[in-house]
Amino acid sequence: MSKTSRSIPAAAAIFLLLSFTPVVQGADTRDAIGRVLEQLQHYRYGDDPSKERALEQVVREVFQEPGLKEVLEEGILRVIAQDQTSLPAKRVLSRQLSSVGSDRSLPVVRAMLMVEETADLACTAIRGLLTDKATEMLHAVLGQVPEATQIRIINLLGERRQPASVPVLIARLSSDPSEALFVSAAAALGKIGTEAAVRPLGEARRGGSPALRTELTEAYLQCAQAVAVQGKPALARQIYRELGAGQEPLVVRRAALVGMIQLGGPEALAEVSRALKGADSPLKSVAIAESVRLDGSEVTRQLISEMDSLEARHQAQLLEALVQRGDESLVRPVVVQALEAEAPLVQEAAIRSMARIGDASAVGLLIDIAEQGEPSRQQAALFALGRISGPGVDAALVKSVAGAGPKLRPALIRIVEDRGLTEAVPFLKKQAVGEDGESAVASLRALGALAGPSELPALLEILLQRQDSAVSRSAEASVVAVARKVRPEQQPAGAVISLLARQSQPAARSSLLRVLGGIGGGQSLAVVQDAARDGNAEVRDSAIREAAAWKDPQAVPVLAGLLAGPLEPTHRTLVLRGYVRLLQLSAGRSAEETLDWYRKGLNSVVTVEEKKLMLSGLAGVGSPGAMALARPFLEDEAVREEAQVAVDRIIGKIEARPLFDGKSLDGWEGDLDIFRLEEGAIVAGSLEENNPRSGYLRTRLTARDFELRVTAKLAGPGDNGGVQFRSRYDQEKNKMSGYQVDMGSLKGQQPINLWGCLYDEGRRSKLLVIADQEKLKRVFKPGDWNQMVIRAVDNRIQVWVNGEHTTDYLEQDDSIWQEGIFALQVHGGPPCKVWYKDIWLKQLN
Amino acid sequence: MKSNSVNRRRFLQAAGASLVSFPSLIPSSIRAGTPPSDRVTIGAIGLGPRCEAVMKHFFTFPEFQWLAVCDVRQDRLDLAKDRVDEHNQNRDCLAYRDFRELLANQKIDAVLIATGDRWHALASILAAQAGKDIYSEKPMSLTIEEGRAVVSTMKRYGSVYQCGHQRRSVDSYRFQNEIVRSGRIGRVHTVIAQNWENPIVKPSVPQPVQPGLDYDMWLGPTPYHPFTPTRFREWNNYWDTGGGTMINMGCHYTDIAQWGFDADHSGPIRYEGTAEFVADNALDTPVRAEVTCTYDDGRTLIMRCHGTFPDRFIRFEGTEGWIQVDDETDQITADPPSILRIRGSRARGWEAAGDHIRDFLDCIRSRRETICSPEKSHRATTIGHIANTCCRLGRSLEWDPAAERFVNDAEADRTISRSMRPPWRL
Repeated sequence: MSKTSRSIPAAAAIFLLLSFTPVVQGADTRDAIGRVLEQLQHYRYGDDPSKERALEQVVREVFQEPGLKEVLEEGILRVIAQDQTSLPAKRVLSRQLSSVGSDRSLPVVRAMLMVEETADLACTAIRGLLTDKATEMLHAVLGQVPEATQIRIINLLGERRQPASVPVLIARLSSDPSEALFVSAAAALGKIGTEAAVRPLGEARRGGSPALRTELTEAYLQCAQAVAVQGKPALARQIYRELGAGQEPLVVRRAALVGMIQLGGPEALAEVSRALKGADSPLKSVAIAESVRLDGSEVTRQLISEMDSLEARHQAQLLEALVQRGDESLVRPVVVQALEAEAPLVQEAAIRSMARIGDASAVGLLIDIAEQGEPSRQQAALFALGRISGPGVDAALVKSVAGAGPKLRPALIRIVEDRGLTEAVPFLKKQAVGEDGESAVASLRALGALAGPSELPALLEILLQRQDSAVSRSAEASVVAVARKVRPEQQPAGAVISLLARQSQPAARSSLLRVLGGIGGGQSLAVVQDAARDGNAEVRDSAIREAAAWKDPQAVPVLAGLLAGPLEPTHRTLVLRGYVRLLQLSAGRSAEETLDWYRKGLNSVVTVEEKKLMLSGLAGVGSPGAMALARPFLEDEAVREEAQVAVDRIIGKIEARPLFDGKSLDGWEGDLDIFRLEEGAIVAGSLEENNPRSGYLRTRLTARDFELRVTAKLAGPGDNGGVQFRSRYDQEKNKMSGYQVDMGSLKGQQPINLWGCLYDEGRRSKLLVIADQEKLKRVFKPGDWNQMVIRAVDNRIQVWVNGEHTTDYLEQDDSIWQEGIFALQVHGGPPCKVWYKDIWLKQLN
Repeated sequence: MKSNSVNRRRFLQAAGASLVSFPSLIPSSIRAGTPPSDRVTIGAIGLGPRCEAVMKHFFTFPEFQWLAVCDVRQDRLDLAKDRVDEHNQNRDCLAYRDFRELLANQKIDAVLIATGDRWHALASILAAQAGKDIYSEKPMSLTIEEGRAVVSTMKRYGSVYQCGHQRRSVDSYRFQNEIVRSGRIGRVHTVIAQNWENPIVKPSVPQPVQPGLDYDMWLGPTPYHPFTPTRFREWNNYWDTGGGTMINMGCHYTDIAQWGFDADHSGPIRYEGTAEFVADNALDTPVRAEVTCTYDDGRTLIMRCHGTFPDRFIRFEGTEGWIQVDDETDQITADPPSILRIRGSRARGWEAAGDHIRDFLDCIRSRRETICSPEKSHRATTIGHIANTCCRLGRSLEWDPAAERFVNDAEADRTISRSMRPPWRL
């Protein structure tokens, strides 16, 4: 059954697998599954994780195909039952069995339960198999296993919540077991929580030792919750009454009270009253909070009647709870009365409550409180003013802001803004030019939010009027905010630009330039660009700063222009920073264009700091062109480190493409009699007989600077292979020459691991550099897949084996050619087989 | 052009419901010189970097009195004790290795739980049984069943539980939510939650447990594995002990989505997507994934895990515009951009947990439901769990939020819960 022929329903998820070929493919599915399982049989921690990943992929695939699941289940059961299967393997398998297991797995699971070291795995495997047969098996095995396993199974029975387990668990409770078993059985019973469990649990709790109290109470409470859900509230109430008795700890009584209230009915209200009249403060808080669940005016009345007997903090809490109930006609008089309460806590709660139940008539009162009250009452009043609603509230607010004293006015203006009261605009304009600075700032902010475009001329006038005050920045922000409400086609900056043309004062012109920067857009940018060359230093400074801080990448050419001309050092830094920042924004520019701008930028940099800044930006561009720009800086002593970081990051971002598709030799040529495909890898050589000659599988593609990733494996006494690069192939002489990253081992007195070593094949015919043997010792996996990354840039060649940088070579000989093809090698000689897969190339030039 | 002010008013009204729960029951008059009897005593369980970050914000509240810390790692325990002692200006902070002992201390009213994910639910449940109120780091659970158990336990004991989905208490996300709920971007049909991708790491062989670590307690209720540096470091990205970015970070985003969709007591009903697993990755979670979660009215939440850490954002798209919060920078962008003008200037980024802790404190006193109540948080976390199941099983799934079961899908139902390693049980 092939993966491609499978029809995928429209809504089905498509799961991609990176560097992963479908595991279950080809005609013989059973074999494929068998192979995956066989690979896992001796699994150890630290092994190649692809064995485990493969099994997970099989599980994903069997869910798509009816019939396959049974094959997999059978396979898992077969392997997991074998003694020679490692424990880690059993762990992996039991986890997957939890997904695919059926009643057929019961004998094997049962056998695993009988052995202590696999009992836990068995429980994992069978957790979700909620069949009667599985439950029966667990019940049956209970009497035949040691106590630790018994407890494990009892916990499992609780997790599975099968009512059929109740009698079994009750029998355990009364069988005079150890404490641990006793409490496990009670916990499991509580979880299942049928009617039959109530009495034994109650008895267990009353008779159990004090050390087990918390857990037995928890079981009893769970049981109460469960029977309530099953439609037996009377039974649940009975439990809560018992647990609510005076001698129980507070936490238990609290739980009983909460449970009782959550059940509702007249009993619930009675419990609330009882708690409010009682002595325990925490219970009062809980009763008030939970009373929100109880509906009806009767409840409201009852709660109100309790008010007077409570202490201040609970009165305050009750007030807020009452207001939330919505019984306004009943609650309002209580709140109004509480406004006069002696306790500040209660008073504040009443003031805040006006937000919910106050109306226009309350506005004056709240403003009075805000004006005169001490800070906490003032805050409560402002809170209420911000949220109070109803007919006439807004009008009353606007009116009273005008009358409020200067201390309160800014806060009220803020409320006007928050509430969006456009009718306050005329008032705000007056405040904006008034003497009180704080009110002016607040008003300008509010105008920014509330004023429409038609107010723009008036706001510009205010801006010019307030030039020398601390308020000017607020005025600028306000103008910007309003101008941005103008549609682009109506030229939001138009009014500002024409005003600017008529201004001669440098301060006013600077201010308007800042406004243009805030508004943005092409028109503004052109004006700012001109002003950057203004004769007046103050104006020039403002313009350059605005240009450097421009939010839109459209300013890139302008900044490039500035960089090309004379600039003060501070300005240069600002402009350069802005330039790099804008180049990092995606702007619909082509990659070529972006590189062009970087090239221009790099040409204009002078100081070390400037170079570093440009390199940091360039590092974000993932293309060979960016490599070319960054590379020369590797020679620059002062910025070598930054250049190296940039180069590394650029390479990281450049997209790799596969040289091998996993299923064909498309793109490869050469010794096709030697090289072949096996299980998604390119394979050459033989383990049975000598290889008569060396062979190469070549690319047609050539490369100079690149990064190549390849995963390879070697076996056999003659182990030798390698990866050619920057190489040439002479057809006539059938000869390969060029660099080779070697694979294999040199035997002898001082053996050398050849993986990652650099050899010059068919040219100088010698090892150019030996890979770091210490590092290889740490990461190299003999006889297994190893990944090599080969990077060649200019005359530097580097190799990483399994992520460890083992090899670094600088070519000193200028006559050596630096461009050519790639090829995979198998060496002639004693038996040797070589595998290559996952071959990815990044072109770096 | 639409009048800004009308929308502004609409949004205040829409936001009204959530704002009413805002008033602090603790007036500032009390806050200034909190008398010891009015303080909430608190201890921390799990003292890694996340705890340090949150504790810092807790320290700004004089209403909390720090009594104890607990960790399975001696090095972290010592450091945290020093930190608390310095805060308290004494040497009295109690240091526990076993959190059950901390919970047994009757002097402690509340706990901050910032362990690894495997402990969040169970520690919260045991804390509630011991009568504590709980601030738990996210994700609140490892499985859907654990989350439901937290909800019912908190209900059973009347405990206050705040889940560390603190973005609900952060200005930028509040603003986004208000814009969305006020209808300013029209009918919202899509949320895109962009997350970073999971790492690829090499396996390592079992090693002696590092000194000072109680490894058995570290493993807790999760399946036994010998100590390996890879598992110890990368627990976040193994199914047994975590669920990768989809849940680790994703739960914040599903929480914001549920809030904006006003779906706090429900959730999506269909899940489909793609996931990329890497063969030679020691981690069993997908490296990249994208799951589309569809609600019963057709609205969709797209959960993406790909790209780098700083690229994360959450974006609501509606018929009349969109609004996006960049998580890393706290920058808000929107279309039409005029939306942004409504924003106040009280901005503070995702990291600021102060208001979230303030809500927790208010609720400890008032016993009200927290802003990230167990139920809301469980619903949000469930989305991440199902998205992960979708990746693990490699197929689309249908979910019944009312029954909290998959629709006619016994195989998927098996992922709702897991068996716990003794002596632990839910």
